[in-house]
Amino acid sequence: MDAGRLCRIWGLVLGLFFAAPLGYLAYENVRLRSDVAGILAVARTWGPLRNSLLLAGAVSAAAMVAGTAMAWATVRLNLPGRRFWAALAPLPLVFPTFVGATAFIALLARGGLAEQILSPLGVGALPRLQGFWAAWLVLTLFTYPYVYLPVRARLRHLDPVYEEAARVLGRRRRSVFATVTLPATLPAISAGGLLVCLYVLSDFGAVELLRYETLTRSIYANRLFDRPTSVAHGLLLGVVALGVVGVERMLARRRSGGFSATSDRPPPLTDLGRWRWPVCAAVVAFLLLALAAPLATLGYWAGRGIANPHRRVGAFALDGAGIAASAASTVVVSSVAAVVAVLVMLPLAWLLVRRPSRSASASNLLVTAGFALPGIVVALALVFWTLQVPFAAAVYQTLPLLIVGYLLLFGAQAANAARAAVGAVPRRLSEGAQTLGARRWRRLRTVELPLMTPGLLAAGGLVLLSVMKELPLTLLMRPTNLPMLSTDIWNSTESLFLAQAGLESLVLVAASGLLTWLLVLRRSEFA
Amino acid sequence: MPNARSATAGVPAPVVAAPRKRFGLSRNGDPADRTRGRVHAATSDRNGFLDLRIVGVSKSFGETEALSEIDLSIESGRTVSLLGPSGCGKTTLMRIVAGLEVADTGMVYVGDRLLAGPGTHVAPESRRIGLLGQERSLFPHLSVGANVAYGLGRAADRAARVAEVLEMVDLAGYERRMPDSLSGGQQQRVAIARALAPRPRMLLLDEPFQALDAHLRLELQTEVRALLGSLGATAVIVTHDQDEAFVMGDDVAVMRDGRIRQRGKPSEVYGHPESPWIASFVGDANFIPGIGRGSVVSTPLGDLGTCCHAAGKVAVLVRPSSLRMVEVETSGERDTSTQGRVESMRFIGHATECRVRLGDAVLLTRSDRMPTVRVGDEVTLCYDGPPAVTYPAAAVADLRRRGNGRRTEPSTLAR
Repeated sequence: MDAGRLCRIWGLVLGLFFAAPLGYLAYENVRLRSDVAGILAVARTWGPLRNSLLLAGAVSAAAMVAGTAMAWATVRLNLPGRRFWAALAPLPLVFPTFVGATAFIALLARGGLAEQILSPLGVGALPRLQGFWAAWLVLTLFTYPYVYLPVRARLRHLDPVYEEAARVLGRRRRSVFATVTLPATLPAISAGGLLVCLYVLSDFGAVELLRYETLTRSIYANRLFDRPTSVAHGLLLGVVALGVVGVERMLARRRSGGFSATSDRPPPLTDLGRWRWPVCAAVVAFLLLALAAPLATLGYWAGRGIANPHRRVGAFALDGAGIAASAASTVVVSSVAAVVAVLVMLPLAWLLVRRPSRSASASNLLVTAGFALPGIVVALALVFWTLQVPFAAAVYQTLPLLIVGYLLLFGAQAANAARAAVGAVPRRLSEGAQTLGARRWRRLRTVELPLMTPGLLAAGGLVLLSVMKELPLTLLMRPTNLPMLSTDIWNSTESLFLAQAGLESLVLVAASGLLTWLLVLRRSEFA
Repeated sequence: MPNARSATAGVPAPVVAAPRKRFGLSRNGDPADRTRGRVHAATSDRNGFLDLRIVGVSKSFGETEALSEIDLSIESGRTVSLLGPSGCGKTTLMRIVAGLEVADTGMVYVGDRLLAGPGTHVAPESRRIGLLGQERSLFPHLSVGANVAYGLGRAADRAARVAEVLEMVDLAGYERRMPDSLSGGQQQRVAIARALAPRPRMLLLDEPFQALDAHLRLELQTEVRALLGSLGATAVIVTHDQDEAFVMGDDVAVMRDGRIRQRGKPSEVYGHPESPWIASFVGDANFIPGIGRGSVVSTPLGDLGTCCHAAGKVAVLVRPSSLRMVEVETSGERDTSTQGRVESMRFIGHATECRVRLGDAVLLTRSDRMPTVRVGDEVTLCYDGPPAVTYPAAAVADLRRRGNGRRTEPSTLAR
């Protein structure tokens, strides 16, 4: 059997594997004879569903506005320190949303920074940060870079010729923006917005910590005592998420829009005149809120803990050795997941680039759909499956199953990056090696793998980053004796061990920041 | 065709109307009305095209001087080709006229209206200048009709005007097509229609045919030339292509290093270039050494008549087509001084080019007759052209040192 055939079979197996969680949830609904229609009809479903959609819509809208405004301001306006703000703007990406929520809870907590600053002004105890607006604010602040990055790239490379033509034809700046710039940027804005929407639908950590009743939260809350509701909500959330991906695909097909976006002419700057400083102040204020405030508050609590080394319980308690152990096991588990994901996905990537076919695309579609599934849905499917199937209970809360869960969640990321890696080996080089007499394995070893290595490392790094930031699956499926940073932060925050949470968060943010810089930002123009 | 009043009143676009008030044009009356008395304004009057005056415009980008003290006037209804190698500043000059770039010094007038000058910078949207760029600049998200109507504001007769200008560029009925469904040539025609629709006061065409392939370029050059003529348009065509400059312009202005070096009719610029650099930029040129004696110059090709007074050591411009080769065997006299050897030949279909070594110089000849000689043959060269143009010998030496900005090397091997 030749390599292509093997790869195709592997691709089909992968496709089935990635379709399994949602399929299993559907099956489970039937098996439990749960009254799906009945569950979906009651208010207990409508509330969380409505909340999920409301939050996803509101955060996407706010992120699109904030991301576009920040990109516009840093690319097209003559702000003082433009490049510096532009480099800072994508950084909130390094905060997992549950860390962001932790930071804001800690900011307003008793004895926190906000109280320290506000109490001399006569402001008393601050309310606990919770509910819709809290979730909206936190999720917007930490997801807007998904809009900012593509819009910025678009604005930088959009050929100025269109806007110049519009002006010469008699349109004022505002009209040019509305009739030319905005339509040209809209594909980037909408793509970013849909990504944010998917992210918010899947988000579990922030809404749980901020106590806003969405589908993810109800799945988590009902998983033990009301399994039919949990399963039905899981299926519902999965379907909604797939719907969002479907819309994204549909829009992507009409995306390019035909604007030439390959310009190397620097984009024209608009002189703001006397508005220069106020607009700059607004940009800085936004960055203070999204970047400086969470970092400062995490650092503040970590500092308080370090300054009080003898407290064993309460907000200032700090367990340095525990953090080190968690960090180490987090890195090990994430690395294993990364290596597994790249190895498993490489054949599919190779197939998609070198032997594109309908079956390969179908496999890819299923894999991508797996990526769209919220972590909690995948976790739910795996947990119920292991508890249900005979002998499977043996793997419940073991490392291999945890890795399988990560693979289901982030396999698509690995596949995409691996595709780029395979694409970096021009077919003519393989053919050249072939005409020089190299057989399959020699070609792979001497030509293809060396050229693919940087791309494969990037693919692995992306999975590493995602696993480190993942919460719900880790929370439900990690072996009980395996400490992970994300679940530690979670537990510390729930118990209001804020110093501990602060230090753990800083470690996680530092690691994720390093990886984000290496893998995402360094490749863009921020290098 | 509407008369002048309705033509200009047909564009009550708010974006255009407001600045007109601001710059006092409504007080002075529409500039189009004032051109009516002029002798040559009969056609331009109808479409509202005005004259362009550029006075002392300079522009630097950091240390590099892009334009220095440019003066250029174009009467209404005339087309001038601005010819120069890339990087000579011609596109910058166009962007200054359009208002997309701000000049350091100098003034730009269209008609009597000051568009740019000390303390004045009329925004590009208020200038009423049509611009046709080298890149494809049609809005890809708008239909052909919406593209063409883009500059028309909220005029009532938009649809009629769109149909009218599309008719002019031979694309009647294309309103609902999308730009990406058109060929490159059609897209560029739509761009022309879009620039013409708001009845601009003048047109700037910046390398408009550069992206098209050769035969389409020729076709569009001819058509656009005819269209501009029939509209009585005032236009500047920026190009680095000599043929295009000659075909398109009533006048050609040659630019180099941010200055206009010569302005004149195409035949004048080709036949009497003001410098060896221009001579070799606008066409192939041989320069041979000579001694000027008033109206005659002695050269290796014999004594030639000159167009103007020449004295001392000079370099004589000899176009390849002015050289005739005679095979030595058939020529009766054996004047060794004009005798050369064919070094290489290039057959290009409609003509044959030969490089002939004459002493220590190699001269390029071009003939549309089938060659009877072969490489290595001895030939006699005869000058068969207009009264010769001469330059001081030092100027040619300078050209040889600096190059001429064209890809082909000039055959300036005279010592």
